[in-house]
Amino acid sequence: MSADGASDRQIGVECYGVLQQVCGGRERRVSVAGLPATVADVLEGLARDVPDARRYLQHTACAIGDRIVQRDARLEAGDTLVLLPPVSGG
Amino acid sequence: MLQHVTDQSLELDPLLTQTESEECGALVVFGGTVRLYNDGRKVTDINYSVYAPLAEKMLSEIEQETLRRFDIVRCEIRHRVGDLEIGDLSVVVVVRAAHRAAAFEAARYAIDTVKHQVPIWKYEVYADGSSAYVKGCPLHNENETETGQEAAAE
Repeated sequence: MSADGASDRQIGVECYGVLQQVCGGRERRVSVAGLPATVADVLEGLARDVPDARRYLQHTACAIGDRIVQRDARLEAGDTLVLLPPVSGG
Repeated sequence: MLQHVTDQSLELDPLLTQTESEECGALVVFGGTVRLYNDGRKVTDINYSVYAPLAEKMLSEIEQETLRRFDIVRCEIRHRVGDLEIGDLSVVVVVRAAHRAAAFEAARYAIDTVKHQVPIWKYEVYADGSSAYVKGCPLHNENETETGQEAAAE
């Protein structure tokens, strides 16, 4: 545990597509009030850290591993939330 | 090992060999290629990025769902990622069936579903020096959070 416990209240986030561009990179860490945190908590934390990301989050799906998760899904320490904005393959 | 997504050139011949079937009288191949113009702008460079763990799973599920929905024998999908050039094959769908109607319908369904459900993103650089991620399809619209509502109000 860190001295102030702050690093224990962070969730790793992977950003893809336009969110990678807006957030300045693929990987970052987002602070939350406590763990477990919901997906919604992490998204709110990201929007607080990167205000320009907020407008993209409504149409962004979230995944943990190979599973799409809803906004009320819970994340524990060590989990990584993957942010998937609208897709454009093909 | 990735089965459906690759950063190498897509090769059609191995897929045709792999899917050969004496039961089939129809072979439909759809290939998507990088085109020079998009929305009237000249494209100079293009990059496809992918979230591979989910993309692999989705492409496999789309193959299985296509086999389930249509009277076909084989469905194989491959998608290329990374830096591509104009004219390069970015995606290929191979369907074999006893008859052509099902093969055409299945191939159409498969590529349409790929474009709507697979976490892959296209980033284009244009001749005027600008660049952008291509506007895409949301993977889902379920946004019951306050963050989503606030975003919607902007």
